[in-house]
Amino acid sequence: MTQGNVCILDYQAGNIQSMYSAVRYLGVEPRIISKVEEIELCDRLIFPGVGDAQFASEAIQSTGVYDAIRAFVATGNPLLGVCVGAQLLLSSSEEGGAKGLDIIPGLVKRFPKSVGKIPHMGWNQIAIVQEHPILDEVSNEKEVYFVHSFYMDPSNKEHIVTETEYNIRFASSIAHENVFGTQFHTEKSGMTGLKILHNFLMN
Amino acid sequence: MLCKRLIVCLDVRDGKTTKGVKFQDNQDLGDPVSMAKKYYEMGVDELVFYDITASVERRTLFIDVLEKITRQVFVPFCAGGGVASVEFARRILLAGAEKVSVNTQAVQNPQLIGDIARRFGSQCVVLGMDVARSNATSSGIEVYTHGGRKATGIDALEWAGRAEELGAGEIVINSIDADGTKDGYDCEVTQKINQRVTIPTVASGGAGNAQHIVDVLGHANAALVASIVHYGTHSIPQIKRYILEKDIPVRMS
Repeated sequence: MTQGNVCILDYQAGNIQSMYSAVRYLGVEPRIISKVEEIELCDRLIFPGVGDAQFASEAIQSTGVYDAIRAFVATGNPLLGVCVGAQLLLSSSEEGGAKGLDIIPGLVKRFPKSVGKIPHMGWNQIAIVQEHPILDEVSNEKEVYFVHSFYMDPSNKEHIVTETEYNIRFASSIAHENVFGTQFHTEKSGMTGLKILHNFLMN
Repeated sequence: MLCKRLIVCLDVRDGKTTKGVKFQDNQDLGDPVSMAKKYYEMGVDELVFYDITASVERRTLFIDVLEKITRQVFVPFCAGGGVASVEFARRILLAGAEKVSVNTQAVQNPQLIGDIARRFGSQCVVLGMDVARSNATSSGIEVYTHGGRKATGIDALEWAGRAEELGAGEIVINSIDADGTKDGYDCEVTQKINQRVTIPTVASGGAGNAQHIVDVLGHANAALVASIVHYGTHSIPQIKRYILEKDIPVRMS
């Protein structure tokens, strides 16, 4: 399969420049899309996100993007959600009561104060708990970059691909069929992040 | 386990990297884009760019530099210097920065922290604090503004706590006393401010060798370096190997 029409969804809630640059660096010219009707024209969709889940959730609900993303997923084409974009794959979030896409059942929870400094900010390891093609040639326990105050808690452990330890152990990557979500920033995680993005684009 | 971060700081003036001692006597060190790329390839965890250009018109040059860095550097970076509005913060973030740093303007208008945090999330608001030991405040640490030139009478611990409440996601503690001395970070000042907040802190000012970094990482989540790597006396891999040997978790790429 060629990478086809790779699109990055710009829903005005986060910074897409880094993702755009990382995909281009990997030799693929992505399209930045912001209109609902453009989503069905994508062959691969990246759903990025930095920022506030509630703001993101409201932005995509009000513009009908939710339904368009669900329809895209139903076609079987690959979707990659990153950070808030991964959190929104779940059912709902404690962050402002944000409603999720509910593609993967589960909740987004606030880190308890007992974990330490919040946000969980910096480089931390991903323990691979389930093999997945997107992690091809990514060795276990590699460091990737996180910035988040809320973590993903899928209801079904089978959806967890990697876990990370920050005084509690949380799901740092989740997957279901053609959908993959990373809590960490693939576009800012050095060679490891670029490898994961490469696998998403090429597999 | 969360790693401690090694951050390289580049002061940018008129599109060139510069470095001064005690905030003065700046020297031209070269192109920030190629320097950023070099540090990225050597395994730096994060970069910070401060625009110290005096004139507002030259700001566009700084944004251009950030955009070029975004195309080649795939680790996070923070940028700041004269950020006085949500709109300018937005330009920095849209250029590809993960975080935006506010300093003097946040002291003058603390709501700036909250305004940026509400729009883009706390995780991208970094408070830069230039601090010095002083008898003028109850904690013995005073906040300075205007690149460390102007004393404010504000207690650094109070300001750090207030900034966290307003929505700052990280604090860079820059010791004016230690900056440029190469005698080590001001660990005591760093520790006091670090203990006052629950958000991550970055120690800045005074690094002369890898042991200084190890010393301060007991009191902060990250250490910022400039001269020791800019002038080539130390390299990123060498510093990181040393940190790791001291059993401090650090990313070895």
